Amino acid sequence: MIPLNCFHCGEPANGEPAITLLLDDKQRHFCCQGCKAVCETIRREGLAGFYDFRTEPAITPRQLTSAELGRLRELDHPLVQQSFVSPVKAGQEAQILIGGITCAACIWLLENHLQRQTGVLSFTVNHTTQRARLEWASDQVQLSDLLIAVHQLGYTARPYHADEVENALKVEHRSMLIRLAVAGIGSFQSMMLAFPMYFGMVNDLSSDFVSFFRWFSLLVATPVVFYSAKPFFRNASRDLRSRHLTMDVPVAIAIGLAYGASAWVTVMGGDEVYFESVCMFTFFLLLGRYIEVQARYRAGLSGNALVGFQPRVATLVTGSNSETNVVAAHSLKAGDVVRIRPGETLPVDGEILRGQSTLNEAALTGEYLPETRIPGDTVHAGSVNGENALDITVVSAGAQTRLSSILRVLDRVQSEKPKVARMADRMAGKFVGRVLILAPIVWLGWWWYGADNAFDITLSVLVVTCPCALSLATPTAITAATVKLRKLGLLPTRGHTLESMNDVDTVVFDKTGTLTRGELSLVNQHSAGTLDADQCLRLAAGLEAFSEHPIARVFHDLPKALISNVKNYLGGGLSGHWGEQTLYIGHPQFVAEHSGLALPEAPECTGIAIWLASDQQWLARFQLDDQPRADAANAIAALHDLGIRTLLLSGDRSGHVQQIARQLGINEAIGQASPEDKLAVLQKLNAEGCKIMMVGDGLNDLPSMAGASVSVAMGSAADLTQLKADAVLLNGQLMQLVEGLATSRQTRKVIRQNLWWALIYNLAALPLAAAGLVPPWLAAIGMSASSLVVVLNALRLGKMPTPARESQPLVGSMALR
Amino acid sequence: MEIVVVLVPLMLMLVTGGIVLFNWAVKNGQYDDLEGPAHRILYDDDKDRIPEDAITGLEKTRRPTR
Repeated sequence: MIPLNCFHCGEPANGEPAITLLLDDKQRHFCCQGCKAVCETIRREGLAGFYDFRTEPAITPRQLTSAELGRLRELDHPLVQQSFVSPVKAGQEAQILIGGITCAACIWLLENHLQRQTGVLSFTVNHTTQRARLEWASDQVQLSDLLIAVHQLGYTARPYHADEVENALKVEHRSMLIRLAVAGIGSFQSMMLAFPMYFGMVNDLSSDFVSFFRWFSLLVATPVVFYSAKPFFRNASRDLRSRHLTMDVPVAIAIGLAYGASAWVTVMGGDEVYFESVCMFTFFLLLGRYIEVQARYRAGLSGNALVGFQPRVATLVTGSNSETNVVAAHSLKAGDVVRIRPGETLPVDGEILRGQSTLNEAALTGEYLPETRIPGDTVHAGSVNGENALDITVVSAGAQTRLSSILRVLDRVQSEKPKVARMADRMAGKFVGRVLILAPIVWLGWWWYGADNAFDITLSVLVVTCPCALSLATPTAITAATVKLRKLGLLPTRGHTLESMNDVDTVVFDKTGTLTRGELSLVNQHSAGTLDADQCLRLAAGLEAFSEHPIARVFHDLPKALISNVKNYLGGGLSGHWGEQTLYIGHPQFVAEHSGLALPEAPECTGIAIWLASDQQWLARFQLDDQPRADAANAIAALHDLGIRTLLLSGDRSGHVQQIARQLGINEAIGQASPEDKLAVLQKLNAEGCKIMMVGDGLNDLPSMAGASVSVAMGSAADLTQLKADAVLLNGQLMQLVEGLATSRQTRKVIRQNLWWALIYNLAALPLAAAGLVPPWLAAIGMSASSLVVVLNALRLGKMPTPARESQPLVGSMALR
Repeated sequence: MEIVVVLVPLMLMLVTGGIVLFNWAVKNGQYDDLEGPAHRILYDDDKDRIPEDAITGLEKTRRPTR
């Protein structure tokens, strides 16, 4: 039987009974009802062209639970909308972050599907950032309906709100582009006006014409100098005041002198004007700066300031009839009672007043299994509520919660980190100092020699030695390396990340969610009774379908038997009726208690044991465990090959820590570490002189991540962790860490090569310029040529490694070829 | 040669107009997404512009329903 793959997402589609749909006269198979539902929606809207021109399989859609639906509906509340919705002419506008986009066809599908909904005025998705701008008429449709429409296709939608840092970067990026355009056009025009005078193309050029061309060149060069070149002047004066010699100082001097001298000559008469050199010079330097700003803008885009990682509103319970109103989270005080619905994140620290439920405290402790909490228990802000609603008495809110104190520790540790000095700036500083001393000497020399073009020669010296190539050396290499890493799935989010990754000699891993997948999976099944294994599995799946607990979710995608009268016992298990038999599934103590059977004999197993029994006999034991990632062992081995030491640091209390370390071959493992313990370990390593890269995924890892030179957050990590980390590993493939380290070393080599080339060029050109052999226009051209060499060298970094991964199953129309 | 006296200022005014337009385009966010337009031209969403008598067979099923 040929293994079939799902037409929509490419996953294996071998469920019983087969899920199929007739599409364009062909029978298509799907892995689940979700994929089939999405395909039907697509076909109904006439958008089946999606399957023809997509280049990647889509992600498997997930059904929205009622808790998630409730949270989406919350977004209609005006208080919540305050932070990400703004009114526009015909309605309202919001920015949405879309997840699950795999190729351009997804964007086409989304835009078309949303634009057909009533009330949508416009919906566009940015291909680079995967953010959508939605404009809708608020009197015709609600925002939550439109977000549900996005989910209908299998994508996720979250409201997005740019923070000030990103807005500032965007403004800088835009203004840099305009400056570049002005400088570029200025160089064209001034070159055009200067051309006739270069080669004496037009004979008998009367002095009137010469003056005419000069005045217009002045007109063209003025905005270039005062607008486009303003950043150079600003930086130079700032650097001079703080007594640093950076590359901007000679640049500013050269531009200023050349412009000033040419303006003087235009007004008073003289031999040469240098407007075209000034413009071209500014243009090429700005090009280098623009590339740098572009790289920083792109890096800043990943620092998502998402709405909702800390809830802004809470449901306050007031009065004796328990009426509820929605209030702002920061207005809560100690003693207030708030109601937390299933699936909601807690906004405060408090004590449970009413209700019992399971709480997922992964954000704070890293434990992915929820704990049962009953009235009287203390709960913390940042935990996610499980199955039942809870009423909480507030103990501390706002800045006093434990979550806020973790963040404060983080900020303090980050501000104490020493800044990585940029390599290029250090080299340039020394060079610039020497040039600035040399230039007046050259001028004096020629003037004393009696030449009348001493000034021109000095100008050429300044222009030629101006480290244009030097200033391009680093940004181009870093940009090329960043683009390549992004394609691999490792996203540097801070400017220093690539350079810091160079020196790393120790890598510290967190366990759950980093080395392991962070979710349970069925490892083994052991039959204990008379029913066969397959039937036991169906019974288990049928029972567990009624629970949202992570243990139950392992069984959700399996074929189910029909079980009736299912009861969910919090913290224990489930019971139900199948035919005449009563079945129980859950922890062994729970099943033994309810079925009356004695605890079974069974060989020891790692992980969690879930037993299935009827009231007469034990039927089966399921072993669930958190599996390490498929490439974890390879990644550890590759890191050892690079000469890097590995460490496992986990808050887990069980022996799982040592077991995983042994299994993967990690050098050292430390378990039972609280966030403070982790930070202490890192500080000890720092004191020994190690350069550490820390890979983690939880908020409890945050303070220790700040103690490392480079911190990497897994793509599945909490939003806040991703925000504060230096890099994000988007697809969870640990091998890309190795690739990232290798690329970082290569980048340093390329930067070194570029810097050497720039230096050699400048040192060779300097005596030529000092000897008077280089007119200013040739100096400008020579500089551009050297910059080109630098850029081309940096582009070499962009070559992708040959893909070693197994080919993905072909989907859609590509499977027909 | 005297024509240059007219041409040069004229050209400068044109260029200034060009820069003003570019300024507007950048501020309007048209340069924020440089990869999108490359994909958009390849989208195949003009099926509802094909006149009735020109469509055959398969395309009939692809017509969007409202």
